[in-house]
Amino acid sequence: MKKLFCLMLIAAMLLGLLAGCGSNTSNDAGGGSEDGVITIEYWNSAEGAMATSTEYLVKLFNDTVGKEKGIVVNSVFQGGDVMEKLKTLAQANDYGNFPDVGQIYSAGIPTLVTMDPLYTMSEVYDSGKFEITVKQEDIIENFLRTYQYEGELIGMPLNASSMLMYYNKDAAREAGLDPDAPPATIAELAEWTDKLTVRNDDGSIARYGLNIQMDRYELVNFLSGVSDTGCNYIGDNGGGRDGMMTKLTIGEDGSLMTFLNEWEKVIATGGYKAVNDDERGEFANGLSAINFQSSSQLATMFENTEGKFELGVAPLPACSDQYNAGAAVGGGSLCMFDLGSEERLQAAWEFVQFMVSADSQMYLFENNGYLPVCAAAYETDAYAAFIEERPEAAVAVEQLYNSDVGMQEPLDLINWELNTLSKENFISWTNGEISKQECHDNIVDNFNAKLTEYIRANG
Amino acid sequence: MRRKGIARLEPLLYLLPALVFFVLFTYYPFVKTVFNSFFLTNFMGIRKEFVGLENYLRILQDKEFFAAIKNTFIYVLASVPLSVFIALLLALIANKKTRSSPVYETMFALPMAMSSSVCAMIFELMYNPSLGILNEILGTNISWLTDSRYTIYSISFISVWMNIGFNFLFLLAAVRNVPADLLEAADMEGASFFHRTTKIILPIVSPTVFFLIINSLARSMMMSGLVIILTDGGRSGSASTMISYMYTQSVNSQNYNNGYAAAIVAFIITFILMLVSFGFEKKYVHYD
Amino acid sequence: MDTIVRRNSRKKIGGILFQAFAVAVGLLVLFPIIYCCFVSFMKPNQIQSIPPTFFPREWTLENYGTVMETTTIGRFMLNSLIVAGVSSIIRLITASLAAFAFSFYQFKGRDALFMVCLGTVMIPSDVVLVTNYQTISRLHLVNTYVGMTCIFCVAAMNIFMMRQNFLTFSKTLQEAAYVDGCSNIRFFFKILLPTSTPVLTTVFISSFISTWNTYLWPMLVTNDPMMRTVQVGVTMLNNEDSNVYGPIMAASMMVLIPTVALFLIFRKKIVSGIMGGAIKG
Repeated sequence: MKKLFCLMLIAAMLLGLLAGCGSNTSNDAGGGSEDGVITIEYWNSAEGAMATSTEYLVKLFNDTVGKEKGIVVNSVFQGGDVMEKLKTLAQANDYGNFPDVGQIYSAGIPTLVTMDPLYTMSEVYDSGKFEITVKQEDIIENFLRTYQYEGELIGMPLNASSMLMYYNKDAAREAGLDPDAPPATIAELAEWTDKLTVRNDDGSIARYGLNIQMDRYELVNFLSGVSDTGCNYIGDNGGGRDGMMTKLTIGEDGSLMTFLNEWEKVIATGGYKAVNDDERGEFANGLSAINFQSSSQLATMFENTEGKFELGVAPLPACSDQYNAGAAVGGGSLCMFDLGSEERLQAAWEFVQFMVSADSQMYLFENNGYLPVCAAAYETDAYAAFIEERPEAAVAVEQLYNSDVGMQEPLDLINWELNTLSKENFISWTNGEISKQECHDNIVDNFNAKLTEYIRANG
Repeated sequence: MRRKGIARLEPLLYLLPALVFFVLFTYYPFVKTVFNSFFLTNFMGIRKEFVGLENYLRILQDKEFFAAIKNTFIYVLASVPLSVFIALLLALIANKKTRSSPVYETMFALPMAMSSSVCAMIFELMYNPSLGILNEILGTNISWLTDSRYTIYSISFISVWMNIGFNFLFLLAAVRNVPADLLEAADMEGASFFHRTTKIILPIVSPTVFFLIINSLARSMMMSGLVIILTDGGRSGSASTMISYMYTQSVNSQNYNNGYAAAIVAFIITFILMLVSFGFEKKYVHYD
Repeated sequence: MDTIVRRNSRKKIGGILFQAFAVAVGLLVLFPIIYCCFVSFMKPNQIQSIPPTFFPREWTLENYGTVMETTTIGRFMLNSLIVAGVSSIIRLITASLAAFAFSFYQFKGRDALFMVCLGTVMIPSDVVLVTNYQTISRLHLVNTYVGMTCIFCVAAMNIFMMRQNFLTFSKTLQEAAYVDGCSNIRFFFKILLPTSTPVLTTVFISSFISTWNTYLWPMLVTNDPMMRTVQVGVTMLNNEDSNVYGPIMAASMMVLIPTVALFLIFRKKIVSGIMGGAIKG
């Protein structure tokens, strides 16, 4: 037994030693320049198919532009949200381990701007130190707006998507609806929901006309056009982009109530399911006829419905005739960090430009359904060929061009609260547990109270 | 004299390695958290102003936190006894060695090898009301995870399942250590299976059962992962626990003020519960 | 003679029936894992079809292909093996020494110290995360296996587990050892540990499994794809834009293999008795 114990001890020491060696080599690989080759780190949240695409593009960069200019990009997956990790590092005051480039969602922007090493895109464009091949004007304005904070462009849009309406064309035909004229307003959506709902003999529902859980993402998309000025910022200070958001404006300007008044018609049909059990799976199996998902799920939606029914894709319905249609942009951006080396900043910028070039963006469009962020991509032959093959992909592009630049997800600081409040109150309202007014007040008042609490600690 | 001094220090010397790690990686950060809980801190965890007990008073007035405390106790009551009881049954089944013992012993113990994130995915798929296999098998139509009447029990069931393997392993060994002559004597007297189990086997395996109850108790009181992954706390917080409350407050809402205070309240409640359990140790646990 | 044979064969049939029953119970217990295994061989459109099915209609390795394509799971497994293996061995040392002190010595503050140890179980890991990261980064251990491992080097439940075992150790045997002139540390190595192999094995296995399955900490302290652990690999597959059940179940099955192997290797050692492993005096 003692022998065994000693053996284990020795093994532990050996492994420890091994670990020590391993650590040394990995520290070298961390970044820096050697023999004129600069290694930079790219932290990403790319999961699933996006992970494969990211690896492909990084390798392509290293083999082409990188080889030419002596840059090696080391891509590191950092969990579902790079921001979580950056926050921990910042809290521990460990800026030394920051990456050169990070993939950041728009919700992370208000936190990001408080971090010292951040090197904004505006700084890149204004400094005159960088060789610019991708100009700010080359990027579509809607996407730029997403990552602007107090007038400054924080990150470069990388992967963009918007919400679409997916519907069952076969079901529409059976119900006597024109499958090629999908609902353009909420009122029409209610009509479709009603007609598409199928009930069993005992009155239970065999197929819901519509299945959508009103999370924050869905709510802000539906609300984004409900405004007389063309777009609804949801919160004050331009939805948190001109400064810290301090309250929701959708209560005081009546836009939430306007939307609820329309949505009431959907609930009244009785064929609306407000809970997400597996929206996409149930839709693909004919348990619901209309469903809303991001444009980045286009390929998956086709894969799931293949051989089952004809899938229709349409833009988001407007709240009513008098308001604009359109959708808010979602997705991620590339943000740069200054780690004290001019060379590395230059290298990082080269990589950022590569990622938003027409070719890279077309690659993401074809493989992951992300809308190209640079205007040039839409002029390419590859784009024309892809749209020819999958015309539905053009719906998201059209919707984008029809959307007001101001239609954005707000930088609402405590977005998780809005998500919970919206989801729960819509479910309760649909179930008849609370009234429309209560649903409205619960969302607005509770969120504002939480936001006030947040601002007290962070303002 | 000197020898005696060294002898007194000897046990502390053995404790030293463990204590060093505990102090460095658990108590040092925890004390820092306790200290911070008397301050208003921003989203970067930086102290802004001293507020005394305000953070505690606020969460103790929060209905959601009270619901979380109540839910935590429901989890404990629903999962701790059941996971120990099922494991004991399995151990009794596996007690006798047969040719296929290795097969079913391994089967009974294997649930312990699954990580909670993977378990969450498997059960999410099985619990799915329309596409899941559970409703199909049972012929029911229940929204296991989204109907607030069931959520808490659906989650408890997963944690029971995850704990079975670990508990079984310990109980099997303990049950096999029951001296055969005692059992034979009981058989001679014609004792029933129930009598045999409660009067002879249970007292002998009591140190193991005690350990398992404390272990499951601690795990259930700290339960959060499954709740966060599968339910977001359930409708209106109907399934949230103390720690999932802490998590959503501090990580999702960047409100460390509520989060820190909740963690410390959870610590105090659990600690009291532990002390009470150890009070029972002297009375019901037999070490000889 | 005849009756004995008949009784024997009846006993035999009873035995076989009992074994079949036990295996059936085992299948029931394992149902989620078996289901996970079958799903990992299904095509995505079967996983999402109604009515839900248990057996793959068409066996496919597509999901395993996706796992290999998206992650370098082999390398991840090696990393996890290093982290879990090293920390579990260190845990054996820290826990057995501490449990020895707690169960064989009487000293002032013993019970209080024991509660201090157990108290660590009640502190959620999210609370200590940032400060621990700070400590590790100040020690310049970010991106090292030491940094990944060191917070896993002790677990209160392991100490508790061993204490329970040591407490049942026969007092007479201990006294006999002292009479023979055995010093404390000799007693610990020569007598206590050898008779405690089952509990040592169990501590090793349970801590191996729990460290093998950790996700957040190893990801936090490393920034190198070559140092990622298996659970990070599983997360990489979790993408809301596509059908992920298949690949995730496939990865889970692959991740399960080393733990099952470990279990099978050590099974005999464990079930020969964890608690009360000592020879009754």
